[in-house]
Amino acid sequence: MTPPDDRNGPAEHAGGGPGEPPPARIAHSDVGAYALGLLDGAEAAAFEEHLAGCERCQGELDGMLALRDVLAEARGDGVRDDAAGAVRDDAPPAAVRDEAAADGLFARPRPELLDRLLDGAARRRRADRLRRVLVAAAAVLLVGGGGAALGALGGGDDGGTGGRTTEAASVRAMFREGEQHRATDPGTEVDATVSLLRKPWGTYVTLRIGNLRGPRECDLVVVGLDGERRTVGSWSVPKYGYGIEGTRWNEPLYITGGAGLTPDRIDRFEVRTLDGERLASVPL
Amino acid sequence: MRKDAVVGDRAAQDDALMRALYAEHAGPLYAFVLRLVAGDRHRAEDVVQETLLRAWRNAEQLGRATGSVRPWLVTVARRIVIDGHRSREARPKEVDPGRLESVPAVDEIDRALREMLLSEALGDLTRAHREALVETYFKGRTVNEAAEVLRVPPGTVRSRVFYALRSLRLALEERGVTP
Repeated sequence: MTPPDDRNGPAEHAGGGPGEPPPARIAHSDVGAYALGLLDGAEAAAFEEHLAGCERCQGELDGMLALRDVLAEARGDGVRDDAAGAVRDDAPPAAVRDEAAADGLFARPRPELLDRLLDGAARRRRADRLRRVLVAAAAVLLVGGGGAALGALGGGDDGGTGGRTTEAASVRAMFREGEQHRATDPGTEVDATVSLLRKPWGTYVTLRIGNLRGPRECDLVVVGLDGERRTVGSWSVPKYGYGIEGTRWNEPLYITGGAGLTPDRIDRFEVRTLDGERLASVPL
Repeated sequence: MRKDAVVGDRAAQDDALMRALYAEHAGPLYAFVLRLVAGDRHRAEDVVQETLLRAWRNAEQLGRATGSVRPWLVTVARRIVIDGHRSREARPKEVDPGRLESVPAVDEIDRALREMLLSEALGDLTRAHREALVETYFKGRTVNEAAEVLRVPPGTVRSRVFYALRSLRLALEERGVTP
């Protein structure tokens, strides 16, 4: 497409179009201003006269009019009572509104916005980390059921109230009832058994873990056949540990939680420290 | 040590994702939101910030979906504007919530998406071309009136309007829009 040769304005008049050369004060490039309705009456009339005999401008005009439609919508023509127009009964007169609309189209946020976004992301990342731990703890609470204060119980700790004994009994009953898979890690010697009960929502998981020294924080992670990892629960180990043979604390720890996967979609369970060190892996 | 490395890596990825979201959408989204909040720039920035943070948090799901994120951004931004309005009735410049249904109509989203594309395409124009369009068409002035404001000959304004429209058409075509 050849651009009109009058880019310095109408002082240099373009000639050589397929029709007659444009008369004085008319240039082919006036078609833009004409399409947008920016010419005064006399100028518009003069251009129309030129247009009648100029195929090049006729061809150009179609495209320019299509663009005008796009711009008109953005300027807000005819959609003033539309929700996007931000209109109220005391709306300002048309020209002022157009200006505001134009400002909006060309407006860009200040660069500080990016800094604020990065700050916000960092803040939420920290919050999410905390939230993941809390959600894991909540899962233990919710799925552990029966008004249990904690789904986790260790051997030395459940001798107190009757309520706790009941809780301990129900968690162990759940453990006995399920399909059990056991593994002892050759490196850490942590002894882990998961017991699984298939549920409509996934799998009820009870972990029995022994030879686990403290102090440390741990979580139980389920790894799906698709490789996705989800936390089943987390807990902390006091310094004397759980299920250490030959000590007062030789009772293993039981933890209950839920996995949103049914057993047939589970590859394995992993017990890890919150630092990411793997203490045991129980394949199904 | 190892934990720090993992966290550091995650942070770098998050930052990169946020920068990408910002580069791709912040400008046009801001232009869209600015109209919803009747030109209140601070409020518009707050809304864009909240919208992009939510997009960032949901990046995994959004990434899995086919197609553009923009309809999601528009819907969420709009939602934030409405909720904000409800929680501070006193602000006089806000959109009348009666006119903003909670769930936008399809054509309203389409319209917002077109505006965002146009806003982006206008951003590709040179300053002189952009100015020519703003001072004429968008401010409701004739070429001759705009020429006085811009202190350039009327012929220059006409010529700039013409080339601005041509550049705009190219910029729209590059974005898959055929006006």
